[in-house]
Amino acid sequence: MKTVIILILTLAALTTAATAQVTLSPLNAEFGKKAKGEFNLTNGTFAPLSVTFELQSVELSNGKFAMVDLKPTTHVKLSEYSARIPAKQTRTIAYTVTCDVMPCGVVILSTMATGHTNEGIAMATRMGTIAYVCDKQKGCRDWFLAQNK
Amino acid sequence: MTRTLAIALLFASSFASAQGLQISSGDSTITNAMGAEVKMVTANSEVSLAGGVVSGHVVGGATEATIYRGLNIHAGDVMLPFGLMTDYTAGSIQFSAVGLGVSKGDAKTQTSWTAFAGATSTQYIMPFFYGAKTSSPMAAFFFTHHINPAWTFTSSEVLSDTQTSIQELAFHPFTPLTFAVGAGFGSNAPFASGRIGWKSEHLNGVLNYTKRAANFQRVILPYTTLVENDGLNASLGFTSRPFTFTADHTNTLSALKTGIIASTVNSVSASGSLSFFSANSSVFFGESAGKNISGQTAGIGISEKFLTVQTNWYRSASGSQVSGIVTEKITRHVSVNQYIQKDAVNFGGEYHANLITVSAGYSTSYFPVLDAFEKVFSAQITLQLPNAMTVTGGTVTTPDGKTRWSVYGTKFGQGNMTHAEPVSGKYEYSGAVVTVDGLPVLGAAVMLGKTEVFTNKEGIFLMPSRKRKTLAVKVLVNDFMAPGKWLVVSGPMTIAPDEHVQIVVTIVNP
Repeated sequence: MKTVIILILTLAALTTAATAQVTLSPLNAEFGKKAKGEFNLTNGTFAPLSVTFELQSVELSNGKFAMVDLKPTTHVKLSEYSARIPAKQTRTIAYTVTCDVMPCGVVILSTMATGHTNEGIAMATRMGTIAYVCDKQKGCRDWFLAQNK
Repeated sequence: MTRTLAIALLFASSFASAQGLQISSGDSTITNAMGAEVKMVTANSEVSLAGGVVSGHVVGGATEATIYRGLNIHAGDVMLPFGLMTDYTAGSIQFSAVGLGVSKGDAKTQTSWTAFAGATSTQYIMPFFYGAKTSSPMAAFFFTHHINPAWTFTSSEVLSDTQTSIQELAFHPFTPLTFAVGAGFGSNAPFASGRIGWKSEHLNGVLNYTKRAANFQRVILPYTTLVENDGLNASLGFTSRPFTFTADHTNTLSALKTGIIASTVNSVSASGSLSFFSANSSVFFGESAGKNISGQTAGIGISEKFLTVQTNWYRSASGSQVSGIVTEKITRHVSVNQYIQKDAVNFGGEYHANLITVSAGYSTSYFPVLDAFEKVFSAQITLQLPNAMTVTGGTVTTPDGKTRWSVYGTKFGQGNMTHAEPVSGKYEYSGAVVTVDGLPVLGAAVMLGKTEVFTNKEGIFLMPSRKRKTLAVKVLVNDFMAPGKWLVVSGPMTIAPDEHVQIVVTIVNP
């Protein structure tokens, strides 16, 4: 089982989301009370890409972004929770977010296997798109940052 | 054209089990070109072959890119970058060549270099095909050395029918500010240039002065549209979230087949948005090939959830006109728009989904050849078909205002692959894949009916569905993300909605 250790390289969600010719857009989105959005994942490689999607809440800790387990007050539904994207193709994933407590932030992490080392350790990459949900869409991210300071 | 496309895609299907193979084929009226390209990718190299017909002439191309002992090797048709640190627009100039190139970057010595030997060429590049015709023998050497974090030296040498040698030095005292000076000769003609650049989050500015002989060229090419700056060039740009402003003054010399065209263009543009309201305006004027050119635009718009309304005013030497576009977003997949000009209303729309993306509509563009703003029709369609096949088509409007189109298909082969349909719906199938020790397995592949799903780091798979029915369950051990040979110890044959199943696997060959 040791050789099946998955080394997860978590990229900060706000850095450029592009690795191994896989691109994710948008990196973040702002919503009002009804949060219905979507993001695109493009496989720029010549091989099919297996992806799983996971949900976490985002919060500020000491002024820095932190990803924590999805809060019970945040409810997220994805159009699909895993996908296999053929070579050079783009997949659109739709999501809905509802929050019992405003504002809230959710990161949808796309986890992809990107190969493995000679020692058999699997390499995976995670890229995230963040959805900010507030009472009003305009300035939601700024409000989220201010509320969580 | 349709026959060519069909034959090529049929040919591609027989290679579906090959590793890293891409076959593209298509037709375009932009350059009266039709052709095909085969590209194969392995772990350390990328090889492609292309051929076709351009305006009745047969052209072909071949490239190979590989890495050998830390050297990046490019053979065949290449585009060689020939940017200078003093360029007004950084990194914008490259030229086509055929031959063998070797490049290497060394972080320890802070140097990088590229050596090339071959010939200059004229390249024809389409999304589905490329080809080249060789011209004059040529050798080139480009060298960059970062002396320290503040100082950088570059040398650019080209030997051909004429000689080019340009040396440059850049000084970077602190992050937004850069100074650069350069001098030498290009195609046997003298050249000197200086540049001051400022690039910060909100403010960008460039001040460039170039003194060059009229016959200066970095490389002499048979057909080129290279644009070089001459004299004083300056730009200032301010960007913030609600407001942007740019101002430019450029002097350019364009090397065309008919000779050197001198142009001086001044432009100012601004745009801003506040809540649902936005506005933009731009003005340009100057002289090109001895003729005065000028134009002005202004527009306002409102955008509120499903509705966007934009109206614009355009003025050029040929007169002025007003147009408007109304866009209604019906669903997240569908939007429609109406382009209004004088008494006419033209309809367009857009449909966006995983299988197909199609858009068609009208807009207004400026055409320098006509010195006028004209209504432009544009359409794009992309089909993402099963088994990694993509078909793309679309229109392009040429600088003289004529509409041209291209259509091409691409097929990728990389071994047997199950196609996963995008899914959504109110019913949910779920389960867990664990080892015999009870540990979750990330990236385990499970086929539910006709859809392949994967487990997350908790070993859980989820699949929404619109239909409520029992599905067959099959564990695809060959598709597991984790390496090694996996075996299924136990698992269900079927799964029902809202049922949570468990699959136990073990690894026998880590």
